[in-house]
Parts: sequence; structure tokens; C-alpha cells
Amino acid sequence: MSTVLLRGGRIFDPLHGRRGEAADLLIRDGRIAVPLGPFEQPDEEFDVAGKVVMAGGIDMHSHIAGGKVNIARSLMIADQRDYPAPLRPGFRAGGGRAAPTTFATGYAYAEMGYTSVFEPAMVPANARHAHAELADTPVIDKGCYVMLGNDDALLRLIKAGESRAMITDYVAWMMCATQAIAVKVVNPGGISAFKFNGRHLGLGDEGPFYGVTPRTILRTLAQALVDLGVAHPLHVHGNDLGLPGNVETTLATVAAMEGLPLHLTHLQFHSYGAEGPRKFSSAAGRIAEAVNSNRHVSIDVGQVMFGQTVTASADTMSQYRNHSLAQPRKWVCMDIECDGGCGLVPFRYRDKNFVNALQWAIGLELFLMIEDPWRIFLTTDHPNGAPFCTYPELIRLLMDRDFREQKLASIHPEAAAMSALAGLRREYTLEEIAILTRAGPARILGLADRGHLGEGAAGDVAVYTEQNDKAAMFATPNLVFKDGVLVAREGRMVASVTGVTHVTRPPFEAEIERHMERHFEHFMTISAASFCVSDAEIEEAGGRFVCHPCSGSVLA
Amino acid sequence: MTTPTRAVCAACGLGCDDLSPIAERGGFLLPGIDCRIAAERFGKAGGLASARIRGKEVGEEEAVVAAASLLREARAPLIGGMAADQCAIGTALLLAEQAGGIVDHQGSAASYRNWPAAREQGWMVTTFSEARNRADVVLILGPDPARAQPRLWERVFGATPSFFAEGEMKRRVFILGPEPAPGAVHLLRALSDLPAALAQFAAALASRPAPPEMVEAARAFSEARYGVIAWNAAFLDPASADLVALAANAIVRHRNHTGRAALLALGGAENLTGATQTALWQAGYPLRLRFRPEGIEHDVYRYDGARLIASRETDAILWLATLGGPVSLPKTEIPAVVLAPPEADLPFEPEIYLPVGRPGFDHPGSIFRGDGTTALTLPPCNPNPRPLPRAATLLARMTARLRS
Repeated sequence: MSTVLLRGGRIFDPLHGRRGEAADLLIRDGRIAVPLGPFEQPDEEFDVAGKVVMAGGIDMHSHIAGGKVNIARSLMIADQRDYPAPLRPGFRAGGGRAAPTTFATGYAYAEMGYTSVFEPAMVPANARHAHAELADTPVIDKGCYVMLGNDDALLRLIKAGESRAMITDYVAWMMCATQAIAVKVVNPGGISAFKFNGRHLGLGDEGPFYGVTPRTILRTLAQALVDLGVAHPLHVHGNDLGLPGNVETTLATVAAMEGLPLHLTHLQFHSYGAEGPRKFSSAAGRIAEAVNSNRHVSIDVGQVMFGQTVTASADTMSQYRNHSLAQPRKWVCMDIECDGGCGLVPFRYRDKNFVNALQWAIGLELFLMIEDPWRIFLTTDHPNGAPFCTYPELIRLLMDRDFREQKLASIHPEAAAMSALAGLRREYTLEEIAILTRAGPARILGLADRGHLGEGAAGDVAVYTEQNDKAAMFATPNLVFKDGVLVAREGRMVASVTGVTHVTRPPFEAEIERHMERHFEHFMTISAASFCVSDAEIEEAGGRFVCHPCSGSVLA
Repeated sequence: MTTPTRAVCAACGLGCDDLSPIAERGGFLLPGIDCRIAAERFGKAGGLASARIRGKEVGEEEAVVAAASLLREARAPLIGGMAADQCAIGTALLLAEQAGGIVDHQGSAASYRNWPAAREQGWMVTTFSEARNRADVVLILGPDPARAQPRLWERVFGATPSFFAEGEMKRRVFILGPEPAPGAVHLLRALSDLPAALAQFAAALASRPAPPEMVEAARAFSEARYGVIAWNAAFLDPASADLVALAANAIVRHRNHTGRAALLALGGAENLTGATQTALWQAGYPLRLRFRPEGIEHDVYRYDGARLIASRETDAILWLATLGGPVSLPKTEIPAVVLAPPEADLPFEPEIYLPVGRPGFDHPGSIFRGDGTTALTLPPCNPNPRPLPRAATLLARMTARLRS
């Protein structure tokens, strides 16, 4: 039995309505527990009087593991050289900012007070690799969303008119085989279309060869997840990413779901109008209104922050279309195993570039105009909008209007003029930040014992000193605990631990196993047996699973 | 214990996982598998050996202690070979970090011929299942790739089933190189002439004057639904291999303006791909890296393992060759620690030899396939696993000694 007492902190636990009232917090054997009795002494005690105490941060969309992330590293060796990390006893070497190594990723997140991160774009054929990288990502809890919707296996089932039950079983089988917690779809039908030389696929367009529309793919997958009771909604990177005027696609996507739970990811990239002399404008207002009035929808922003990064996406159609924008001028595009694909395009967002500046403003408009903090999550779609180390500055932009206005005054003036940002006076409160970065992500993922500080919750806790400079505040937590172990102090690692892998394992009938065995044997270059990632493999590497129940989405 | 019905081969990078080994004295037969490399790999499996220091048998712990000592005293230790499973590779990188060592894989020279195209320009690539199902026109550069990957035709480029064809996939295959390949139109060229030949091919694609056989091949490629250009850099003329990759890259990039095509870099034997992937994710650099207190360095020339051995810039070597393949450590006076299974033929008696179990035989493990995305587990097919430690276990013990 080990006990850690945090004395007198201001507890921000939105799930339980705690908004900064001073109270003691006890962690017993890695779990939040009822306070000690009057004569009990804690093993460790920290005086956190006056400090802000929150659950550890949860990043529900960050590209940190797998093939495309590793290709990004290979393209961004200059990033590794520019941001080296010296060897520290007890910790692994490796640095990087836009494309950090796995060890640097875990440490950097922990040093910022984050304790769980989710890889949103696991290619089914690449699942083993993704989990291997996550095994080498210290401290944080992790999980993966498996990408479906461009896989030939699914498109064949839909084209053949297979039953809803069969398709639902396929989705369940895939989640289990790849050890996923949720399902994502990227440019539904579009990645497949690009393999057939399709260069655009609208929501209602029939894709090449299969003749299936993105709308059908979206509804099919979303329905399957509802039938299975998977907690997280279908995680959607919509069609037409990055295209001026794509607001129409986004709104049509919301409408197409007809109330099925839907999560729209990196919504900033899907909130563009085509107005004005440059035919590129903000449509954040219309998007925010749609999110506000559609309670079956959650979103994460995918905020752009200025500087050098690398865009790493499964959306080969979009990445190929944008490849000539690569900065530096190199890029990779890959068609992958009849599952999907990936495109890597290094990129530098510039505040003096009209488009980039407006992208930055659009993301902030979304943050400030979407009303329900429980349905919006703070992300930069790392590394696509910006590296995750920019989160503290982003939080400052949301909480500090003066700072925001200063930044607005320094961007391309036409972009500033086209944006509604100047008129948005809202400042996020600490409670709202706690929702966007902890309580909300836990709830949308169905992580019942994370993102909050109620009894029984994981002992994942971050302690901050409230200060005017919110970037400094969130960049350097005073204390970070993972499962009750102090892992970082004053923004520097002090101990490393291993987090768990969160999965969901919906049941399926035996028939789908036979179908998949035949599928792999006849068409593919590996067997179903090789494809599936077993528990034993991950456990042998020192990992541990937490399996979450299929109890349905909070948005249903 | 019954022999599992399935085994996976780690030899050539194709990652064939449809092997059904049958135990016979000295190893396994692979009925129905037409591959001389796998036959050799599985045909010799088994036996026991003791640890040795300078040829004299010693206890395992004594050899581990001596190995750690060797690495600790060295100024520039090289962790090489790296023909091992993923767990051993990851542990070897940790050991290298502790020892301040250099890391390279025995097969990296071939992959670095592709470097200017892959990493400095970037490229468009595909994977085996995509090529199998989609590629209706294939251009092979160099000799018959079956030399290194005997089942490539059977599993990828031959007449295979396809999602997109009734029956078998109809492919037109062209081979541009010094020798023909079965079922391929042969465009005869010497290896050293490949860059010039690709320039002719590009000219033909652009409707500029070119030899007639190039015009025909280019027309097929430009009309293909999904053209693939494939080559194994290990077989190209080293003096011009990078130019071949760059030229192929340019052709594919150009083709993708209006149609679809992709490259497929063949190779990846002995888990070269896995070693590269692991180095990238753990250290942020591909192979040929060095751990120093102030950080990690990467230098394709400086940290070339073969060069370091030949020039004697490295003063201690730890060599991993655990997959059952040849131990390709060059003969050297530099003290070396070799981790290999007992059936491995050692080219010479090293300073320290540590026998280890073989992944996919004595214990499970995983490797990456040569096309990058897919990693496979190697189920252990030895009905009586030998009492030999895993390489990763020994490397971890050496690392612990370096720490203390």
C-alpha cells in the first residue's frame, strides 16, 4: 500500500463539478482514494496549496506511432538535429520536435502534464508496428483508432451487398485483430479512389470499381459502431480536406449521419469557404453553428500554429494534391496493403502567408464559437497543424484575449480582416480547459476512470501554478503523477513508468474469421494469422491492456 | 509437443508465412515451398553449443561479463550484423546507448543506394499486396530479383489472383537488365547502362526519340492502370545505383501527374527493414548512427559498419546474427562478440561467442517485411525448444553490467 497526499490544491474536476475549491487529494496504490483518516500518515506528501490540480491531460488525436510517423522521422532528420536531447541517466536518448522519437514523445507529453495519448490513424496492416512504437513510448497510456473505409475488404463487402450483421462483425474482427479502441475513417472512399487514379471524391460520388459512395461508407461504419456499442463515435477525417469551400462537404457529412454519433476530427481543415478575392475564406461560423445544434457531433480542432512541421496523413489523395507545397521539398506517398495509404509532406506554416494565417484564425474561431466544451477537444492534429509542444501557447491564445489580439495584429492583415477573430471576446476558463484537455476526451473515448479525480480514478494528476502567462503555466507543471508515481517535477522528468494500452473488443461470430482467412489466403501476401496482433506479443514487450466495455456512445 | 503447422521465414524480406515445416534430422523440410533460400535456412536448424572465449568453452555468465567489459573499455564499439528479431534489435539499441556505440546492419549498404531518392527527394511507393492485386505493368530494373527473393514471382509479380480481375491478374512485365526473367519482356542492358536506359525510357514516355523496345515498354507503362517499377539495390552497379533510384523516382513522379504508378524497393533481407524502422523510432535516425553523451549522431559514411571494420576505426564489435542465416562478420583482428545460434557457421573464431536461441525456431519473435509496413511474428517451430537464451536477454544483461 502506498499513499501520496497532495495537500490543499485547487481541484479542477469538471466531471464532478469541482471548480477550484481547495481540498486534499489522496492517491492510494495508484488510484484516487478517499482522504486519509485522522491518524494515518501518507507515505509521500506534497504541499500544493494555491496550485491548480487537474487530472492528467488526454490527447485524443496525435500521430505518435506507426509507419507514417516513422516515415516522417526519416524525412525530418533536420528536425532531430535541430532539437537534440542529451543523454540523461535513467532516460532514453532521442529528441525531435515535429517528429520526435518515441521516447522523446512520452517524456515531452509527461513533462506537459499529459498522461494519455491516442494514435488516431492505425493502418490495419501496420498495427503490429504501431503497437511496437507505443511499447517504446514511455509514461503515457496509449490506444489506437484503426482506419477502415478504404480497405478493399470492407468495400468488397459493401459492394457485394453483405448483411449489416456481417459488416458489423468485420468491424469487430478488425478492432480485435489490430487491438484498437475505436474506428477512424479518412477521406472515406477517397484513398481507395486515388489508387484507381481518382483525384477527387465528393460525399455522394460513386467511388471507382466498387461504386460505393463516401456517404454509404460513413453511415455503414457509424451504424456498425452503434450496433457494437463502441464508446467512441466514428472518428471522421472527412472528404475534401483542405479544399476551399469544403464547408459544404462538412455540413453535408453531419446531415448524412442523420443523428448517428459522429466525431469530426481536425475540423479546422474542413471549415473553409471560397469567398473573397483569393477564393479562400473562413466558414468557421457556419461550422460552429452546425456543431452547436447537432448534439450527436463531437469535434477536435486540429489548430494550426506557425512554424516548421511535417504533415503526416493517411489521405493520399489530399497529400498528393498538395505535394508541391512541401517545405523542405521532399515528400512521400504510399499505397498500403489494400488497406489505405499515407502521405508525408513537410510544411512550414507562416504567419505572413494569407492562407496559413487564415487557417490559424479559423481554428481559433472554432474554439471560441463552439459552445459546449464537452464536445470539443484541444488538438493540433500533431504534427499536421503543429507539434504538440505548442499546446501551452494554444491554451494561452484561448484564455488570454490580449495575447490573442497581439498575435492577430501580427498575421497577414488580409487574413486578419477576413476572420471573425477580432470580434470574439471569449476567454476560456480553467474549468473549460480542463474539460477540453481532460474530462471531455475521457468521456468521448469511454475511459471511465480517467480524465477526472473522483474516487477510483487512475492516479494521473498534474499540478500547475496559476499565472498570467498561461503558456508558461501549462508548459511547466510543478508535479505530474502517473498511476500515483511522480514522473515529472517542474517540467522535467524524474522517473519513467509504463502506461497501459486501451482497447475495445467487440464480439463477432465465427463466420467472419473464416471469411477473413479466405480473404488473406486468396488475395493478400500474408495470412490472417500473421495479420492479427496477439495479446501475448504486447505483453511480452512489457505492455498491459485495459479493455473497455461496449456500453455505447455518450452522443447516442 | 506437436510442431506448429505454420512457420515464417525471416531470410529475404518477402516474409513468407505459409511454410508448414516437417521435422527431419538436422532441420526441417518445407513441402510445397519452392525456395532454395528457405530450404537452406530451415534445413539446418538445431544443435547445441557452449559459450566460448577465444575458442575455449566457458560458462554463459562469464562470457556475458567479458562481453560487457569489452564494450565498456572500447572507445568506439560497433553493434553490427543486427540480423535479429525486433526484441533483440530494440535491446541492442539500448546497449549501444549505454556503451556509446555505433549501430549498423550488415545489409545497409544496399538500402543507402536508395537514400538520395528516398530521403532527400521523397518518393511514391507501394507494398506487396497492392502490387499483387493492382500492378498491370511492371518494370524490373537489374537482374532477376528472384535471385534474392525466389518466391517474388509466385507471391507478387506472377499470375496471382486479384480483387480487380476475373481469375488471374494479367500483367505485362518488362525486365531492364543483363539477364531475362521468366514471363518478362527482356530489355537487354548492362547494369552500368541502367541510368542511360532509364533516360531512354523517360524519353519514350515523353514521346521523344527512343529505341523501339523502349517505346513499347513506355507505352505499356503510360497506359497502365497501376505501373510498378521495382529493383533490388543490392544487385545494381554500386557506382550508379543511386542514379537508378533517382531516375525511377522521376519517372514515377511524372507518371502520377496523369495516371498511377509507384516504386517498390526490393530487399530487406535479415530484418534490415526492422533494424532501420527501430533505429528511426527509438533514435530519430536510420542506421549508421552513434550514441554520444551529448546526443545521437547519424552519418552514412562515418558510421558505415563495414568501413569501420575495414579501416579499424572501431575497436570492439558486437555482432548479431540470430535468424539462422550466414554470419557475415568480415574476418578481422578487432575483438568481436558474436551472438548466433549453434547451427550458424562462424567465418572465424571470435573473441567471444555466445550461442543464442533462434527466433521462429526456439522462441517467438517478430520481423519486418522488406516493403516496410508489415511486421510478422515468427511462431517457434522447434518441437523441442533448445535451452538457449534469447539474444535480447543476453543483451539486456550486458546493458545492466554497463550501467553498474
